[in-house]
Parts: sequence; C-alpha cells; structure tokens
Amino acid sequence: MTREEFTQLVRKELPSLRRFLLAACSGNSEEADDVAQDALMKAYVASRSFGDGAGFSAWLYRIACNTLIDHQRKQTTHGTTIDIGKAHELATVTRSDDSFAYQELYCAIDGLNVSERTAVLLFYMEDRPIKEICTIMNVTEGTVKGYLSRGREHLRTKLSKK
Amino acid sequence: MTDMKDQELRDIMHGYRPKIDDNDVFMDKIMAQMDAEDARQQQARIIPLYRRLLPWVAGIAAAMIVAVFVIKQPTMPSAESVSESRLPEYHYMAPSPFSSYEDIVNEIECSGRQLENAIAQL
Repeated sequence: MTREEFTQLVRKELPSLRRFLLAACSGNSEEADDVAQDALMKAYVASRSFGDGAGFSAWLYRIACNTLIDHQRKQTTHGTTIDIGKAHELATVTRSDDSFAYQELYCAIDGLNVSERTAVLLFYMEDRPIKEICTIMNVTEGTVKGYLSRGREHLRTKLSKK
Repeated sequence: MTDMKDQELRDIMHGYRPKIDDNDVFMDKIMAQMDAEDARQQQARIIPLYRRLLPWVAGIAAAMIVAVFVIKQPTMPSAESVSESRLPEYHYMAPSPFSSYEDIVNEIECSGRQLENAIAQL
C-alpha cells in the first residue's frame, strides 16, 4: 500500500476512529489523541506490507485497540500523580466536552473493563458487525457476545435511569 | 426502560456520539509525523549500507595512499647504478686512445716486451 492510499483510507476512517477512542478513553481527549497518533503511526509503518485496501478498517481498529490496551496498561503500571488542588482543573481540561454532555455515557462506560468497553462501543456506537468485532479484538464470536451481554447489562442499569 | 433492547441502546449510544471537529488539523499532524517517519526510515536504510561499505572504502583508500607513496617517492640512485647507467654513454662518447686495430696490437706487444724486460731484470 502506498502512502497516498494509506492517507486516503485514514482520512475516511479518522472521524469514527477518534470518536471511538475518545469514548473508550472516557472523554479524555488528550489520551484519545495520543492513542490515535500512536496507532496511526504503527499502522503507517506496517502499511507497506498490508497489500490492498480490503479489510483496512478492521485492521486499523485492531491496531488502535491494541495500542489503547497497551496505553491503559502502562498507565495502570506507572500510575499518575496529580496534585489534589489541580484535580478539578485537570478534570475540566482533559474532558473534551465543556458542557459535560457526555458525562453520563463516560461514567457508565468507566464501569466496564477494556474488552467490554471496546465491544460495546464498536457494536452500539460505531455499528460494527459482530464478525468484524471478532477480527478487531481477535476473539471468538461467543466471547464478543459475552462482552456485549455484560456491557449491555451494565449500561442498562446506568443509562436507563436518566 | 428495564427491558432495553439492542436498538434502544444503540439509539441512546448514537445520541452520545461525541463530536470531533478538528480532524483536518489532526490529519496534518499525522502527515508531519509520517514525513518524519519516512526520513527516519530512509536514514536507517542508508546507515547499514554505509557501515557495510566503510571497510571497503577504507581498504581502497589505504591501498591508493600506499600506491601513491610508492610511485611518487623520489628514488635516490646509488653510485653503482649511476655508473652502470652512464657507462655505455661514457664508452660511446669518450675519445678512444687507439685509432686502429694495429695500434692495439702494437700496444699489447709493447706491454709484453716491457713485462719481459721487467722479468729479466728480476
């Protein structure tokens, strides 16, 4: 795949990819963009051996999901130290939506683990078919259905209370 | 809303889709990173080639330096070699004391007689 082909396909996927990562990072736009940049650079390096554009979207999302998992694992391992006085400021800055319109969703999603969150967002927010989610997450159909079932149960209790 | 179905949840999730406006700016940033990655990879391809060629280049340069020194070094001719090289010229150019073959024979006979006299005196 040439650079031009890669750029063209990325342009097409970018809005939904960033939206997915922003929701997966619970509204932390800096983290979401860091993950998106890392994932896109990994994809660009690997794109020379990718071949034609078939399955590009699933392949890109797979890289993004793996990068997200690595990123969140690193954060869990290393942790972050925040000054208690700046905690409120940080919360308002890093949450990309000033109006907190999506806080309810982010709070609901926060309760899910990474796999459940990924499956739920891909299926319900990005309208990806289950087979494609299997390819993206590299798991079986039954596993994805399990993630969705648990995620749905969790979101049902959180979101339907509004 | 306890019996939430897939479509209902999907509608709710669609309603929560975050809006992202700066995709062009983000794409420009990615393009700049792609340029940097291309430059880095090009350099990475050149360095191993340079490292592979370096011993050859050094060897060839050393051989050329040695060759230049050997060829260009001013050779100090020894006395022997000078005499050897100039001897034919001297022979050719020096005026001969004998004008003919008979002079040579006479000289030899004269020398022979002188030798006989010297022996007789002894």
